[in-house]
Amino acid sequence: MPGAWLDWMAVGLAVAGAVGWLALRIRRQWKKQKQAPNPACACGTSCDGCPFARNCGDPPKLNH
Amino acid sequence: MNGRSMPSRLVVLLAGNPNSGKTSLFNWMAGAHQHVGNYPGVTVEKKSARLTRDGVEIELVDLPGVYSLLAASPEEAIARDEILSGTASVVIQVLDATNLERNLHLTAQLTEMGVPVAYALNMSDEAARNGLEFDLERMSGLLGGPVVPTNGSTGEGVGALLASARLAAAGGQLCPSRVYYGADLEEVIAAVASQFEGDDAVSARRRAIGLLDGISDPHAPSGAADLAAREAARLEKRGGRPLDVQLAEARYGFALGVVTEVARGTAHYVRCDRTLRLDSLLLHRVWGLPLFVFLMWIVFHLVFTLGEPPMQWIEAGLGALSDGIRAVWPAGTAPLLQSLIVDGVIGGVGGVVSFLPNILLLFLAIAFLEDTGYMARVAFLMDRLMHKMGLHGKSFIPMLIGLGCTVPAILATRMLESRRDRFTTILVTPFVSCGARLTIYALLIPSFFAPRWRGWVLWGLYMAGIAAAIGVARLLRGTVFRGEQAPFVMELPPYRMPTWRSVAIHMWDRAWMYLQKAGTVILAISILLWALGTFPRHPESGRHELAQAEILEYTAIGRIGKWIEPAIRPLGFDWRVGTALAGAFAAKEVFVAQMGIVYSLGSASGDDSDSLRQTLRLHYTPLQGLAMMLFCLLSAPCVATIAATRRETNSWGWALGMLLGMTAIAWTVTFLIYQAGMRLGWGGF
Repeated sequence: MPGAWLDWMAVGLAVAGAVGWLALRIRRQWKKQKQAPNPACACGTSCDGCPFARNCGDPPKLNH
Repeated sequence: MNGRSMPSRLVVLLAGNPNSGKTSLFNWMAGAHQHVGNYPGVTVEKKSARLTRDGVEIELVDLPGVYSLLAASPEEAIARDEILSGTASVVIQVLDATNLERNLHLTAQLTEMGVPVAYALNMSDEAARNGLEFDLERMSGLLGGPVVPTNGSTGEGVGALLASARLAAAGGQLCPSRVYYGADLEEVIAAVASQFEGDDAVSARRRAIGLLDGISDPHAPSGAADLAAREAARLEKRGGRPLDVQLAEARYGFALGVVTEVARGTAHYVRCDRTLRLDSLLLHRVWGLPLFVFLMWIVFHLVFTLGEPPMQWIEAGLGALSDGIRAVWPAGTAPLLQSLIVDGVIGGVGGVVSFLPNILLLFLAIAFLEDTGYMARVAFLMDRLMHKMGLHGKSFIPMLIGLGCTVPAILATRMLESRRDRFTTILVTPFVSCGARLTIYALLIPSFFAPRWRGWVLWGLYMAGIAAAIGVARLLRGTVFRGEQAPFVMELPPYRMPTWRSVAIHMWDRAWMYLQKAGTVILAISILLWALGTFPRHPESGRHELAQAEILEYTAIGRIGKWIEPAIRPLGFDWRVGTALAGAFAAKEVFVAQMGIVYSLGSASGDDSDSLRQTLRLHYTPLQGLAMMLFCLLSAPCVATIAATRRETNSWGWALGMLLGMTAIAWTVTFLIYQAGMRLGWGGF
């Protein structure tokens, strides 16, 4: 049943992709926190890019 | 504050505004020992004197009279260079008591120079004749240096002034208040300061502010100068006014804050100026706080009334999208991919996206109130109340930031220099409802409450959060964090009307980030939750007689929910709510996503035309809805908050203590409210 097989493949890829992306994101945030140059910056937390964290976004970069 | 032994030789710089009486005081101190010359390379006069007091040699230098240290004129440049030369033991600033606010603008910059400062409150006799007096002890605490009343005409106070200056130079000064430039500017200052790797924190910050003020710093790293220039342009565009004006506003806010706290007497700083006219109303001792409470009620009311129509349009659109996707597959078939898209993605992400109008309206209102300068007044109003609870009014500022997100609110507690105040504020700020919790309220309130009550319920939740924060703070300050409060300046920036451009940019940024988060983090979590809510599949899931609920309980999420259900049943929650609360620990919006997924999966195929709100109304009572919101309000916000707490307190103990403490408070309060409601027969309200 190729239809069912494709169905399972698609779902499997989506779930694996979601899990992998979350794992990579957590790892990236953890590394950012460790490497944050200035502990006074509100950056490197797991709320980077969060719309509720008004002043918690990425610090200004040298190459905008 | 490290006390050092009294030095045997001091270099004392005399600074102050023109016409503050500085030269008169210099003459009293220097007597016949003064020497007049010129500063090298310029025609600016330099007056100095050598004298001995109590066995201490003093070189006294009268700096040019300046209004600021921005080096915009030769006089300002000289004053700044002399203070930063490294030779000064102490600076004495002469303040004109009859015009204190204007003089304190210079003080704001002096406190950033990293040099001990003592203050001569000159002409205080004249101010007293005008009915104005000052709390010198409080002023000394706020300014971080001894304040000595002096009279330039009679020489009164000069001896005490020199003695205080010697004390300040010996390291006996208090920690100075640092001007707070607002969250946006402070973030940029910190970023620029981080480029000065060889400097100490005070010097790095001063140089960063100097670059932003346009002061030339030939030895600054090129990265710092470039960054400062770029960020200055960005902030000017965003704020709709030059950066030096924004910095000056913060300094004047500092000045007005000090004056408002220390001035006593029958005279008022009566000026025909908009700021003070508005302050007489908004900072009214009796009406100020009720006015704030009323304004917040209006805001919350508008969040629902104005937000409802666009929310319904989004929900209708998502419903049409779900129908369209279902139509791709033959009727009666329910392949996995279709379920993933409709139940997982649209059910989860769609639920979160549909509350975008409410979120934006609340942010718009808060941003407007902040940008006008009103929120700074709120912190001032709360000061009296907060003092009674053992906190300083400045602790309210992180709480205001917490209305958006708790994580930067916790980071903002760095402005509180007292460890006791910082830790207390960190532990209680999570009680203030953050923006993510608003998605939960936006789902549950319209589900269970009539339109005329919605604004009230939302307002009540926010007030309850603030009340919980203040109550727990009182408890902490009376037990774990006992001690005196350190004085802080509460800035009162001038009022201004925000430009619509800056408000629109702010809203667009917020909306785009919200959609980005929904399309990434929430999407990924929704897919994961969908998988947990779909597998393992019941062996007899093909049988029509098998209830959807039974099929769902067989899955991973159902089993997890069933496992925790005994602990939450006394609160009126079933296993579905339990799984949503567990998921909300990752991010509060996941509560909405998970409820959407669970009820979408749990409905018979093709029969989920009801919105999530209608579905919730069928499954729960208003009392249960209220219990859910209370639990969400009082429990620990999310894992990011715990992580931020651990970083800021440098202790897993405090972070886990917060988690367990808030969970216990949430469980207990929700249990009491729910059980009491049931006993009173309010299950259905």
